[in-house]
Amino acid sequence: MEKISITKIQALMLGITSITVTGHLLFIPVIIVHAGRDSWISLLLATIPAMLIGFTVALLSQRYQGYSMVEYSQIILGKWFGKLVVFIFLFYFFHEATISIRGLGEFYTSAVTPRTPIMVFLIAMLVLAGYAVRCGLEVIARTNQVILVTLIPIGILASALTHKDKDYRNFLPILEDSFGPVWDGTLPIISLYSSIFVLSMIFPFVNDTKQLKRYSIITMIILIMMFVGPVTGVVAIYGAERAQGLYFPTFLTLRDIEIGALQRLDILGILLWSLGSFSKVTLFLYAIVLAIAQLF
Amino acid sequence: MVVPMGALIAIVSILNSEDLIGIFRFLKNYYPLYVTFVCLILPLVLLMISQIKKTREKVKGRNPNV
Repeated sequence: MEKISITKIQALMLGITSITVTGHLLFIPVIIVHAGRDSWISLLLATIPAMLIGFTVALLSQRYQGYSMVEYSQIILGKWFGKLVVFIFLFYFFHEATISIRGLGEFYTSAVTPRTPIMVFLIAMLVLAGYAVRCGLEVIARTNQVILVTLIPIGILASALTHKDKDYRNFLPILEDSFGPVWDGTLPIISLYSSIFVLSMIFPFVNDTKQLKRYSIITMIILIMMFVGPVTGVVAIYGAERAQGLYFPTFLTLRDIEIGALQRLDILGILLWSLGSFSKVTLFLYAIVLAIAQLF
Repeated sequence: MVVPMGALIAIVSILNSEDLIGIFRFLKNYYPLYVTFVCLILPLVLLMISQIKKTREKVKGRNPNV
């Protein structure tokens, strides 16, 4: 195993970036399509399962200190059955990385630069991610720290600048179609937050695992809070019916900002999703490479 | 290992014939159950089995005949 160490804050920041970015880009439309104006309730319902997965990952890592998911799965389930389960996780990591990178490519080719072949974005992102993985986990973690510190003010700024366009009466009536659609919207959020499980590959490198459970739960609560603004903002600005027909509603929200000379802030969205996707693809590529190395 | 896996991800992403609508359809219909099973249910099962093993060892420690 590599002789490297990162702090638990750095590890959890990697989780925050990877979940937030894909969530804002690809999942908010899915949540709104299911739950419509009650999307915020779906978000609240996902809080407990999100905290549960954060707690589970942290507890397993604390119980098997210094072991990654690949190693402790084999300790818990035995060599062969453990390997089978690791294969399932490995397939998921691979699938998640391809979906994220393809989603980013589709975002670029459909909303930003329609004439550029999608291959350009995919290869550029993967070359960068590959280089970051070769540099090691410490480099990935520190790069991500810089990225996340840049992303959060952009998100807050976007939320503040769109405030004048928001009409919160768009949320009424609440639970018009009962809990069915709300529950349908909750499941994608739970699945999105469950992807924090990838941190089980990097928790063995955390230098101090004391209070890891508490930090993980706080991280999940932060993640929920980071989705409240974009989900409610889109419905408040466009109304549920119109928001349900949009592919990248959060991007359009940024594009529509007009405060005097301050307009076309979609560049901030592009920056946000490109940097975030880089972090996510890097994290998953690192997890895949490490898992394969430990498995064979 | 980084280069082959990166290349594999690139190939799969490029060869994936789904367009944006297909990706959203997948995320809407299949992804939630699949990922909830892999990343929430499986880790919970792992934790449960680990807890059972731990408790059994504790009981064995107290009474070796068990």
